[in-house]
Amino acid sequence: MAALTPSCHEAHEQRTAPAGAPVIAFIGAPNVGKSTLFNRLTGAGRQMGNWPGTSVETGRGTWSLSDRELDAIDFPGAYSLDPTSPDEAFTRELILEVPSAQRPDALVVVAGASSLARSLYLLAQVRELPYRVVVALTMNDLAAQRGQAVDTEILSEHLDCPVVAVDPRRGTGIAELTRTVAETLASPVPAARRDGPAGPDDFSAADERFAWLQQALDQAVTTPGRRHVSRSERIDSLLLHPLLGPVIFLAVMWAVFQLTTTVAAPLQDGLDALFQGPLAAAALAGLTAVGLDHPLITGLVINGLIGGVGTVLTFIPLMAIMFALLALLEDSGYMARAAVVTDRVMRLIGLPGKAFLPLIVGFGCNVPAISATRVLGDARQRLMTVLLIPFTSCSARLTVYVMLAQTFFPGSAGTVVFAMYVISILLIVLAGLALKHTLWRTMGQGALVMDLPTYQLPTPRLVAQVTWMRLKGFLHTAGGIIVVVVAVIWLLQALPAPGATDPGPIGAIAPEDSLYAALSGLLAPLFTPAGFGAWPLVGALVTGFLAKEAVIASWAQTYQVADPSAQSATAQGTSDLATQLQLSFAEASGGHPVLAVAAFMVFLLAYTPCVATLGAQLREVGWRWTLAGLIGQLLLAWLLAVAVFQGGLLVTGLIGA
Amino acid sequence: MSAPSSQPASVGPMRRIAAAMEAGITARTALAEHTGLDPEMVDAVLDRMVQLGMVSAETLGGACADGGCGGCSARAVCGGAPGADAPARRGPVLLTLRRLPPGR
Repeated sequence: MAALTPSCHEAHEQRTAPAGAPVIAFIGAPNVGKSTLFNRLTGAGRQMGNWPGTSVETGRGTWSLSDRELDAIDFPGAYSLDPTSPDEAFTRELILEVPSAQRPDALVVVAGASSLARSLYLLAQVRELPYRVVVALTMNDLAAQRGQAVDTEILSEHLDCPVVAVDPRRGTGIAELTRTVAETLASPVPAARRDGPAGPDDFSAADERFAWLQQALDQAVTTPGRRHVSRSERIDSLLLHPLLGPVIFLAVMWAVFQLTTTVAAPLQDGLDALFQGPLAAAALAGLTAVGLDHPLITGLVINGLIGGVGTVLTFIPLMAIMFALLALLEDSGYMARAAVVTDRVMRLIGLPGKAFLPLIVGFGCNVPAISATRVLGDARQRLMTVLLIPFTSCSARLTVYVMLAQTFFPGSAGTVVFAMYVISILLIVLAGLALKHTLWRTMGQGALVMDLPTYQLPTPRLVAQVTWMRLKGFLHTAGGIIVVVVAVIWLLQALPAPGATDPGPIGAIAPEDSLYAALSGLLAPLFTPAGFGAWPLVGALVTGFLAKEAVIASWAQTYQVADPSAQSATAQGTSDLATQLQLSFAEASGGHPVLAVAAFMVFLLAYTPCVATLGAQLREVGWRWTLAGLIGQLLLAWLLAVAVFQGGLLVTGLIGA
Repeated sequence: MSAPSSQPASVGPMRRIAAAMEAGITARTALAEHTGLDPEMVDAVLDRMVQLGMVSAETLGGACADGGCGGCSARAVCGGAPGADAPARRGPVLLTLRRLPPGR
């Protein structure tokens, strides 16, 4: 580039000043008023256009002093002489790389008084070169508004070059700048502020320059005794407090789930009435009218499809409220603070703060969360995060928690659901710590800084848009899964188990004689130590292996009762299904249904989220790690469930004794 | 312009900030408080560190992998995806400290 780009002294069409006129280069950071000052000084005669041989736009004009004219060049904005853009490369070339004779005769470094550290870094580099330099200090009014006062004399003394305060819009300081530049041009070229490079490497050099600037600014700039503390900073002092921050975060999340479970109740009542009443009756009447009222068909259509689709639709109030509350938190700026709070936990388990993103996504759905681990550059960190994501409690599991919490823990359902999320976080931390101290002992981690957005009132349009997009995504995924799973379960329940004696006609088989019961019954003994070794309960876990969205719908089919998802949260606790579940859990656990359901919920949280998640894991980390993760999750889930039930029995036994 | 700091005066602003980041300081305001530097100096130094490649900066939303957003229902409004309605400034920016290779 040096050989192709004409220097400042070579004649070309942009130049308007007489040949031989001293060349003054205006350089400075973007948005400090450099071009405004240049235009003020050169007036109407300036020429704008690309510098010959480049695509870099410059301005050139004649700056008339009282006794002579100067050739003024407006360089593009540059923060430093270390180029990160073509504009900065151009500045470096014409200021630093061309031979001394072709360089400008003087530099006017334009710096903003309100951003001195940033805009004077360029000066620190320029002062390492033998140049005549004048600093034009702009934006003094903005600095004054912030209570800052810059003493140009002291600053000039420390920077060892003239500093002139100017306001190019009002024209103040222009005469002094003109006089100062004239005097500077008449003076010999000053020595560079130091001999040799500023440091042995880029870091040391930059540190030395900032230290030099800091020394000057400490003396020349006075700030108000008490720095203005913004509203966001005041709020952050509380929300990001090392001890209070996590407590507030947990309290906020508890409030989200409490509101979700209580506010959704009356809304679900409306949908309940619709599905249990008019829709089911209309479907039955329609089938009867066309002569299709065979139990096989009415079972599939009314109990299966309408029940299944109804399940999906009645999730709407629950999910909409939760998504809206989370969107409110995001839009207000709080979720960014949650990232800071949880970052401490990330560090604890050896993951970078970036891992927060896929893990948070995982609380919505594990499948995109696993894809989102691609943001992590380190392969081991990515693998570890992929293995931890299944422990994030996805929104599909929420519906099961709500139903079971209302049935077995009436009055404190919100707290129970919240507890499941706390357990989810604990599982992530504990599993992360276990992996960190076994498989990945040498995994490094990077420090991070969060640039937090200012708190703001949430925008209704954005909150509504985010809520709708997430709700639509949930319904789209869950809808397809539930319809398919309901149809498969219906088929398995419609077929008799091998060896069943007098099971009845196909389509009207007693549930306990069905193929579904036989298959679920094979696995049931495994869960006897956890207190829920009964085929209807284990069958739902098998269905849940495919997708958690279908757990309640499969119970409704198993017990052949109305799906209670269409009822209010309170009503769910007293529905037919609730009664059946209470009986099943009580029978399977030997009279300890609360302990058994707690163990069931923990198992539901910890075991494989769904086959789609396994597919995503397979794609990201291969079959070996997917298989290892699957076995690990099943084993951990079983151990935890057994521990909850047996531990609970032990404690209640001790209390009883 | 700056408040008294626990760091010795011979340590420059960039070394002070790098040390604070390694110590786990996680916000710009906290960096300013910890180092005793003016927040504007902190911003200037962090920008410089980004330019030197010591620190990588990215918005969380913008960091979603292409495939990662594929299954995400909020991809159109999360602020990070191309064509998103929400401004990217809403999300937190991660600045990750890296060690420079010797001699840089």
